[in-house]
Amino acid sequence: MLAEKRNIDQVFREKLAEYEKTPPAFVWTNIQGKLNTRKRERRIGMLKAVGIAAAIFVAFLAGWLTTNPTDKIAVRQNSVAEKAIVNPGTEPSAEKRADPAVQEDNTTIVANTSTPESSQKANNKKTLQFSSLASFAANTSFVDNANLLKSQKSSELVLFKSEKELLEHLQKNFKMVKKLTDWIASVRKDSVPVNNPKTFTIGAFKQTSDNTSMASAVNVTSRNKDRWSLKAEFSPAFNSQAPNSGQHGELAYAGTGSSKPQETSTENTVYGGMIAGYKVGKRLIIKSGIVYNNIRQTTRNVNFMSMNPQYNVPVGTALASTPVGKVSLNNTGSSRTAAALNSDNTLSNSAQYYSAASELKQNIEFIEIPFLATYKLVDKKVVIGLTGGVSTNILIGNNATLSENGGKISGGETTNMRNVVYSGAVGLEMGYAINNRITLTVEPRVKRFINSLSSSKSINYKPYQVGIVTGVTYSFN
Amino acid sequence: MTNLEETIQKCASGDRKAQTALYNEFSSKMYGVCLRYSKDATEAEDNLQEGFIRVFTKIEQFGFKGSFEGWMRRIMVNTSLEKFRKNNHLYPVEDMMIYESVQFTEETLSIISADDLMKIIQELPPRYRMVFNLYAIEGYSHQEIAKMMKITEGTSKSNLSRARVILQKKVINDFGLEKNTVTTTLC
Repeated sequence: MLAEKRNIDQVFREKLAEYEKTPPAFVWTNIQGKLNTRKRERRIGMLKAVGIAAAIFVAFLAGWLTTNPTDKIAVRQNSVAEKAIVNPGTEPSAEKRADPAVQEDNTTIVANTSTPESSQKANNKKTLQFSSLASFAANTSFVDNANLLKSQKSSELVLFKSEKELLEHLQKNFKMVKKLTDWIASVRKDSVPVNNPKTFTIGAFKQTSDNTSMASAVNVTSRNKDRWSLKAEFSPAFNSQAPNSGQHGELAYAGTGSSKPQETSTENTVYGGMIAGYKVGKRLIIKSGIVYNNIRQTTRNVNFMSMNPQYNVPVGTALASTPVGKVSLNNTGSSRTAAALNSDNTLSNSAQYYSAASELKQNIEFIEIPFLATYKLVDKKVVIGLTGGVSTNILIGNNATLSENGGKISGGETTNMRNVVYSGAVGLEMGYAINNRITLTVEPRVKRFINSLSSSKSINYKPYQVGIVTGVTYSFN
Repeated sequence: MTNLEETIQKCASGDRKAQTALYNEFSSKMYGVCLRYSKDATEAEDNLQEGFIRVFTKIEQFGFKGSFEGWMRRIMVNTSLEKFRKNNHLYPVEDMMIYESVQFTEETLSIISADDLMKIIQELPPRYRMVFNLYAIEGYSHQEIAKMMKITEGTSKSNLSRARVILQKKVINDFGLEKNTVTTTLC
């Protein structure tokens, strides 16, 4: 019978190890609520991370630009060009290198590099010429890497004395010339009309030393080739409330009891930031970045409602209601006046009052991460482009201030503001390229919030902004 | 793939229906676990809620290498222990109380309900309740308990001994058991 006896541990283990009891229903409701909150927080966290990543990206680009001046790039291109101007075939043997005749047979490409009498201006143009030749060499299978390395080791550059001599050599190999002309034509077709690629090629080489229009054309070509851009932009924002925005339902009490109606207006503000662009096509640029934006509303002749369970107004506070949302305040000033009762008495409350001397400012600040696309209608010295896209706006600031006769008497925040709202924007960008890198732009832009700034079901506040965005764009490769 | 595995995978992707199904299947058992580690139903509900949120947010870490119920149970136990550690300072008590082990017969046990025992265990001082649950019901060793509760093995043994004395006394007193219905042995 010993087996039937249990010590205290066994008693509890047998009875409680598999104990089950249905928990109250509210536990699952609470769990769902918490999971939803976490999901929302994670989404906001991700958006913040995207914002930070965009900021880091912009900072990286700025850093990269400041540490890689264009003259270094030119030197590097020059160096590559020198590497490219080598024996295109197999590495010449020692005997062949020693024999000029053999060299000529191997169709060595040679460029007229700097000459003692060349001016600095001419040198710059030749840098571009080198760059062109280097790119050409890279685009053709004419020079392979092995040859480049071997040629570099040999450090042997053979220079032609005249452009005519160069052209004679080019013409020895028709295929090579064809590739060269095709490539130059493709690079320049946006800015320089080309009727006969072969003729153009010859013309281009002839012009490089003395024709400034060629330099200008090459500049535009250079800008067109730049895939990346970085833009600093700034704009005054003329904010306005959309016709279907504003208070409904439970907020309808505002203004109903006062002799003078409450007035709310959206103030003009400013916004600005950094935008990075990437050219995905000949005319299409996608852009993203980080922009600070804010919306400010001012309400005059503010109507207040003190303790009222119907609107969840606790004792010791007063509630102001505007099209953006409700603001809970602990002081409504000394100039308040008890509101008159309504004729139908439906919404009137003896505790309702208003203050003609008060002004309630609601300031809402966002960090905006835009995703825009610009299609360039004109891409010359003058640039015209259509821009459109959507933005994620992350709430970073929400404060409300009640002032009376200019002095602050109470502060709070607008309730139920969404942490993330989305907006859409369209604009017409007009710019002028002051050089091959920098373009000044001005862009009338209209922006509209897609979802309500408030999460309250009774508020549908979707303001729109009209801005004149001025900016400076730096293009680079 | 079993239904449970499918439900777990759906839960990992945030499927609310799957989460509801999983909760409905395991909530009663897990509530039972939480009740044993808590002083009352309110505390147990809090721990159950926190435990399930952890289950759903960490469910992708479950590697299907063992019992899912066991994994959930450990989460509930850890949640309860964390709550206990947060609210209670542990004082090392290593004096061993001599406890006279009582043997209960099947007949005696039949008159005691699980709910009665739950009430008794909830009335234990928190530290004794934790150690007794971990040792007597979950089957952890004193070494493991010492690690989990950040106490010494001696403290764990002492707490268990004291818990046993209190529980035994309560069972005998609350259910009016005569000494002759039980067999006592000195240990």
